Amino acid sequence: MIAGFDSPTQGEILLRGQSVLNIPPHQRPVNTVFQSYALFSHLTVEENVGFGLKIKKVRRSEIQDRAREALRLVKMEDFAKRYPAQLSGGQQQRVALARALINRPMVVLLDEPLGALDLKLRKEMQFELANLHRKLGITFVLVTHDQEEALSLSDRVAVINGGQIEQIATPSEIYNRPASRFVAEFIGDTNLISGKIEGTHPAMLWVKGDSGLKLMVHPHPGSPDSGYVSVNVRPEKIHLDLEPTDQLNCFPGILRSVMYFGTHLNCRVELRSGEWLTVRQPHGSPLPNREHPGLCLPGFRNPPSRCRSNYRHEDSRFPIQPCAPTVSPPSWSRTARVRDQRLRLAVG
Amino acid sequence: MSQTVIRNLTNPNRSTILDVELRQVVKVFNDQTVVRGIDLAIARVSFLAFLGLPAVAKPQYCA
Repeated sequence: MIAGFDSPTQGEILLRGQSVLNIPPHQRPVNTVFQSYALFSHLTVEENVGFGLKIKKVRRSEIQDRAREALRLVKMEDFAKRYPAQLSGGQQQRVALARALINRPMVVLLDEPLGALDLKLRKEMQFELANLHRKLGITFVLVTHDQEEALSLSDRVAVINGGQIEQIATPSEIYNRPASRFVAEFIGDTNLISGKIEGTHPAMLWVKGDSGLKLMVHPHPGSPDSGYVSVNVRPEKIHLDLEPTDQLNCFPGILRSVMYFGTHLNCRVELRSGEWLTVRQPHGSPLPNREHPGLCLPGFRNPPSRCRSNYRHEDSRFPIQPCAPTVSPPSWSRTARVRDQRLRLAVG
Repeated sequence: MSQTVIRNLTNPNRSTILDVELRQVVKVFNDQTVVRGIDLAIARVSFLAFLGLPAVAKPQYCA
């Protein structure tokens, strides 16, 4: 709808304050990069990139100069005379990008631009895209289902669910303070513990999980202080101990499986109360004996980001302050709030 | 041409020019409402990502 290939049933779309509903796509200062590249197979790379300018009847020599410059931006200047069929997927994507950048539009729309590329190439193109954005100072709008891509590239992420924006915030806020259960589950790995708020403490809440687990959590500003909620604990915020302890937010459990991921280990822990939790441990950290999993009693803590700055290095394994899972503010979209009535708590 | 300028909340002395604005945008597609009244402002030289599960009509926002 921003590019103009489709129009909204209702509502208004403005570009720099001006309504564009009656302006056709080719007259909008917006260019799109499609997942399928949509290159003209009978034109060379250079002709593809300069096509828009040719339609605008720009002088041929100028087209050539600007096409070369655009190709230089995406590091494809050596391929100017080739045809799309003679290029790899990643190279074709770069050409499509050059074509979108050649007339320096106000906005570049990237519709799943890296979806067709393999993992390694995708990572490389992510760096290129971030560099180009910094270099050119053009507004980029990316559409993706890849959360990693959204979090790493953008300065703001709009999480879409059921035709509405479930949350719009900076990547770190989306990850650390998800506004609803949907956002918490969709972005990254997490452990969600449902329960009821049992009591309040200065700046803290007691949540009693369905299985009887009692957690002390840190509420986000504007979050509820009563009712049924979900506590969201990220796997990397949980700490495994070899010895059971009766500290706050520490629970006995059994280490059931360990998966090796190179940089870290993913552990599945079954708590005595019945919950299964995923715990991320740095590679090389001591683990309870896997051979006799029934004998070990790992506890877990979830140090809140707010307390973390208080830690001294030598205390890092034993947080001074007990866990403070955080409560996220109510989801700002009204329907989401109704739907997620049960789930408005999140642990930082 | 009127330009929409919003105050930057973290720095009131700096204003932000909006490149794109969506106001109460609704899209009905084959009797199905795929976009339900979206309000969105995209500041100049920013990088916004629409993130959603496959098949939630994300491309509709762009196209």
